[in-house]
Amino acid sequence: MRRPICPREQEVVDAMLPQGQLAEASELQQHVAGCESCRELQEVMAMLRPDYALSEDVSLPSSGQIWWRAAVRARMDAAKTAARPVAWAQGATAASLFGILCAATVLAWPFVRRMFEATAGRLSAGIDTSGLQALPVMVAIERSLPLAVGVVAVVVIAPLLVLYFALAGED
Amino acid sequence: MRELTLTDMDRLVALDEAERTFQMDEEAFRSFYEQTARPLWNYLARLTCDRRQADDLLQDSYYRFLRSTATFENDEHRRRYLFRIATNLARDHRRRPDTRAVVVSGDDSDRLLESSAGADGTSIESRLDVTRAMSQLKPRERALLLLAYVQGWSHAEIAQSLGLRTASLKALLWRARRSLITALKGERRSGGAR
Repeated sequence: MRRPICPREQEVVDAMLPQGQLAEASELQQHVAGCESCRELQEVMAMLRPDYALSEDVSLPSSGQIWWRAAVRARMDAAKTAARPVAWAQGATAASLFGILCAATVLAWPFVRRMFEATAGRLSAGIDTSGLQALPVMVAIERSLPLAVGVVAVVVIAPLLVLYFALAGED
Repeated sequence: MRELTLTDMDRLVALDEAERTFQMDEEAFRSFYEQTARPLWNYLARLTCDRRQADDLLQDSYYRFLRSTATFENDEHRRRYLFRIATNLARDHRRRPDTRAVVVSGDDSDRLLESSAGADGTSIESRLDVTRAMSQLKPRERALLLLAYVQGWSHAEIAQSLGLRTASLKALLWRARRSLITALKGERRSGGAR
């Protein structure tokens, strides 16, 4: 598409901005009448011009309100910024504790297993008549032990986490 | 995660701190605000096609302005910097997923026009057509038209504010103008059909 951009466009803009129209019978008005680009520009500026009146009836907040809200927000932003390292430290501590707990479980697992096997052996030896039925039951219990430990851990840790987040939200 | 709240005492302290952390004192801000608030709100309302968004962005723009560490040569420089902040905030707001597809709704554009229609002799229908046509433009085109033809910024200032090349601004403005006229013709055709 052809772009008929007139070099006098800025003149038209400058002349129209204060009043929203060109001075009557001016040289510029005569130019605009004969220039397609400037006529189009004049039309667009006239359309957008009522924007000046747009907010006359809109009640804007006072400068005091804006200042007050900005001051409070600045304060809250500063508090958030200051609280960020604390939150990071809490997160890091929780992650470290979880890691330590996992490591301790892994390290202690053979000991727990041996203890459980010894207990199971003593129980099996004590029940002579039902030994054949008791043995599969003990094996099943032994196999489900990791799951049981996991469930107990969740049951113990989850309420603590819920309590922590609930209290943190009340600060 | 946690919502920070301030006590009344904190709020009072905040006002004291504001004097130190903001880039002007309250008295200077009052004068600056009185000069710029209405034009800025106009600009934001037209740019976003949404009054409530314009209200929010107005507050946000002044906050960012007060927190800025820029130094200004004069009030005009300060004013342009404020509009630049507002333009960027409106752009960021638009990019958020929940506000991406916002177009002017009938109700909102009607309310937007209530105060302006008739004040200069233009009819509500005509102003509504212009508002709807504006809402069909790309956000950058709206910003270009408003900054150039309502705020009266120079091409260099607009280019700097919108991150464009000054050399390409004339052509971009011309295209934005054409888009507006085309959209307006479409609105008037569909208005006639209604």
